[in-house]
Amino acid sequence: MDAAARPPPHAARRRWTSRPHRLHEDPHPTAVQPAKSTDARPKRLLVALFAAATAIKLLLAPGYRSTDFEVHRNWLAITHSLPLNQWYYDATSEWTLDYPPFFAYFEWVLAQVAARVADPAMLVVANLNYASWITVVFQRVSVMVTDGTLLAGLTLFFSASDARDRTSAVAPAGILVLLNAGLLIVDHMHFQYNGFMFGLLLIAMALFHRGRPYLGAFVFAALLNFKHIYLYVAPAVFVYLLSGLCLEDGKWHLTRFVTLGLIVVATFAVSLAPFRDHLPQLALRLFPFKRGLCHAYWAPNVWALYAFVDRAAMTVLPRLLGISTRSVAAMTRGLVGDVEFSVFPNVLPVHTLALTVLAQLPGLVSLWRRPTMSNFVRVLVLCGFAAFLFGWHVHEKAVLTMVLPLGLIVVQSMAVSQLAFVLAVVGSYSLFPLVFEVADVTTRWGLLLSFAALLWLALDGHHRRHSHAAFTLPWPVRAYLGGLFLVEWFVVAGHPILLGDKLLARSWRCVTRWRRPGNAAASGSGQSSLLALVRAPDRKSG
Amino acid sequence: MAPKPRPHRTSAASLALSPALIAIASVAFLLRAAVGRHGYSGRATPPLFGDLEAQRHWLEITWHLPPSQWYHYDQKFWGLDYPPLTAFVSYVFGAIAHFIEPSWVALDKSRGNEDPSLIAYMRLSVLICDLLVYFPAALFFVRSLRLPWRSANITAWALILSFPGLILIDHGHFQYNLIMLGLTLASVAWMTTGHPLKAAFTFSLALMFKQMSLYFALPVFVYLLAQCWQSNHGIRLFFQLGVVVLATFALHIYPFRADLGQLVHRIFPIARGLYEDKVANVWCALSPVLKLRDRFALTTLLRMSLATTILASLPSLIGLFRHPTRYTLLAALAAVSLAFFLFSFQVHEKSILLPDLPILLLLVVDRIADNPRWCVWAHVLNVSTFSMWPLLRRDGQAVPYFVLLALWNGGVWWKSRGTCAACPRTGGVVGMVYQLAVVAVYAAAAAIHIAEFAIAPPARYPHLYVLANQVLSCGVFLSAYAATTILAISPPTESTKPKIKRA
Repeated sequence: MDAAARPPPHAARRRWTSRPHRLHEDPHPTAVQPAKSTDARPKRLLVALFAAATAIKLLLAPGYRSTDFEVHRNWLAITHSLPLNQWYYDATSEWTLDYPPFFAYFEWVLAQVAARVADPAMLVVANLNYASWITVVFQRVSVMVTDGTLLAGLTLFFSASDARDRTSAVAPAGILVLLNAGLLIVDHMHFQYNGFMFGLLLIAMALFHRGRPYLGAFVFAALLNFKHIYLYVAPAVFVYLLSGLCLEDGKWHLTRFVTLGLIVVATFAVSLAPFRDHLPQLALRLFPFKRGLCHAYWAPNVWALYAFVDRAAMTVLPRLLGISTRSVAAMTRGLVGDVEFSVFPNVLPVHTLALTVLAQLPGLVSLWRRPTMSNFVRVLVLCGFAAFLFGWHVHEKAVLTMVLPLGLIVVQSMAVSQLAFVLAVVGSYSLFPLVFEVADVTTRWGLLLSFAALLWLALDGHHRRHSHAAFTLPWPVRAYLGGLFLVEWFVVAGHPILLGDKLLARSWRCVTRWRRPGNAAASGSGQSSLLALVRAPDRKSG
Repeated sequence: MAPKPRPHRTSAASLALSPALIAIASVAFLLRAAVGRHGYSGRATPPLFGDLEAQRHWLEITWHLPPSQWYHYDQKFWGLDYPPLTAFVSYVFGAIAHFIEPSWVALDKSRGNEDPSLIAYMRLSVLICDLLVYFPAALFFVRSLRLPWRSANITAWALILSFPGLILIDHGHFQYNLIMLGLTLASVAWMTTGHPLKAAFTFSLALMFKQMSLYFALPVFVYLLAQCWQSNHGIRLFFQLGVVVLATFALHIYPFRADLGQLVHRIFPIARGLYEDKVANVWCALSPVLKLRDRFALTTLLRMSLATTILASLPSLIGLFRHPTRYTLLAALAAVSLAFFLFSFQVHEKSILLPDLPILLLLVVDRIADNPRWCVWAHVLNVSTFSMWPLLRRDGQAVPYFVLLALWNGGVWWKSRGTCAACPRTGGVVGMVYQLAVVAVYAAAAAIHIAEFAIAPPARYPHLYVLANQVLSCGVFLSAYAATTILAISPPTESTKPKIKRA
């Protein structure tokens, strides 16, 4: 079972496998006790957390779901009813297939199940917005079941770790990953399959950790073919394998490099070969550079600030200087949100790419020099950060890329714990606008409060046991987190009361709520409808 | 020889919330909010709708009409039939609703308004009451146990906050029982820490919120009477208690002084019969064999049920008077409220929540004291939630019902295999019978659930499953009544006194 217990194929491989044990770098190595492979407690705790999370997910199931529910239903229908060569051409629904082939195959598999146990009518391409009771149950349950990869990834990782008390190390990780409020909001309210794919990412990382680099590389390559958003973190994986495996001990291991290359190429081949005649169309669907710099609602990144300042300048400058600015056709208004800033220079995809690579470089250099597991996790998070902050058309959900991998090293030190806590809480909070209906308000509060409190509790328990120090945050950070309460309160109640309905709708349109066309009509009135808590009947969409 | 409870002050520091308590409260809040996303009583069923519409209607009439009209206005459409404190709370929420959106509570015009924002507002009002009354009361009760270990406090707090029955009825079906139960909880905590006047005041508030808390009135009265009896200034205390209770009542009914008869008539609707819906009490369980409702006149039935209720309550009340300790108080509260539930007039299936509260507290006390008896209470609470299943299913609360039961039992039985295995040790034959009974009850409950999903009931008996549910539950409640009565009359020995042991 345990990779280390098995006789390694060759000596060099064993050295690579010994590397991951630097993960929990301990100042007093003698204090480290050998891991007991029979210890079932961490596994039981993870299973219990997963079961509790599933219970919460079931409670969330009947409530709000976004158009992404219809997106995935449409993909089920496309993959089930159409021949393969039309998957990336069909445009019956506006929610065309824009994930890589493995995800399409995944939908095909789900559709096979759905055709047998659920409602075949959901698999008809023309049945737009079809949502019978059994369709909802099937799709919701499919997310809950495939979330099992998260559990598998954590179990694989932590059953190979050599932390002194794994139960207390596993609790924060399990809570951070399995009960993550952001993930619950995105997958189980808004509706997506992120848990499944982050689970694959964790499995790949766990396999690296257990000394199975080739298998891990295969899983990661497959993950890229599920959802290409993980290209954000691919540089970290590449450098980690290149430096840690192919260049181990300063020697160049060509065979390893070739093996890795073959695995990756083979995986991509399996994924793309059936579509070999349609690759340009595939690329067009997968990389929609015409969609604009910012996504439907702005991800909280650099470009959001940029656009905000631009907008502010646009409002203020004409009055100050008495000049007229260019027409202010909204920067992401319309299907192809051709970005046009009024004051600042326009941003092109190549600019965002350059900035992203620049921001990733320091981390990658550090990883090149010291390819340990812990460094790998950090740099992977950093790559996610760089892409999130500077990338082109970033989705707000990408914030999870920075949060979930941190679960693997969350108890490494107080500093990492603090960082992970703040990032997890703020990251989840940044996803609040995804669930904006009145009935969702208390639920999202409950989700974030429970998540934050449980994470705090678990981190506190771990640090008290291991470093005899309570888990704390510096006061400015505490004040910042407390400020979230004020912002949330202002969004829900203060703003509508102070400024009234119309102003609210307008200001939100300017600040956050840029939605995809067609989205608005389907999903109500965006952030502004929070005020429906206060003013009910006229819930116009923006 | 019961030790006289010493008054002690709970300092602000000892009431400070630890991260663990906050975490549990947050999860409890999440469960309540998530349950509220599912169905509620009377959704989309015009013209009368259900309990949510009744409560919303009361916001409307209390806000728009003078108090003299509250108990008179259009009694055919959810006329106000709860005591004045409910009306006052409705007035406050009605005022807030009117400020936010006048159409939510427009007189007569708002009937049957099912605007999602309005539903969310009503849900929020229950959550706010929960946070303002039940949570603090639970915290106060846990502190009053004066548990020396952090983990015991956490267990007690988690058990009280996450009991599924209460969450499902108040946040799912839609009611405000938690105000009444929270006030009772605070009253128990004050009684057992030697503050009889404050206890009497909070319990009077509970009575003035919902007449159902009369189920608890006898044990509370007897316990306070016993305190007077044992006190050196008993007579003075007795009069003080009388003044507090009467003054509280007077304050509440003052606005309605002109027409007290109507108030009483509305609050005690005797004309509605021995029972209305199917309910797991003795009269309803007997109905297939004995058609009491058809055989006897209303007044005869009333006298009969009154007599049996009093008779069934007496033993535990006498036991409580002789040994007024915390444990006998909880046992007597459970026994008497069960007697009321089983034998009294006009019982609703939701009324099982009243016996549930003291049984829940018995579970807390026994679980912490590591007394193997705690698993009995856990079983009874499970069955009590099961007995509300027909109602919950009708309300669209099926998923929360199963999920909350699974979560709660997961928490209750987590790492407890050792303690529960101790049950048979209570005696060879008794233990065996008990274990068999537990297995049989769960098997029967599971069978009823499965049959209900799999097989349609025969046309002659459309309510077969509901009846089976109620007969099974009634049997368990009768046993629970017997068990709590025995505990209430047996003098406190080492085994009944909560001994606190580190787990």
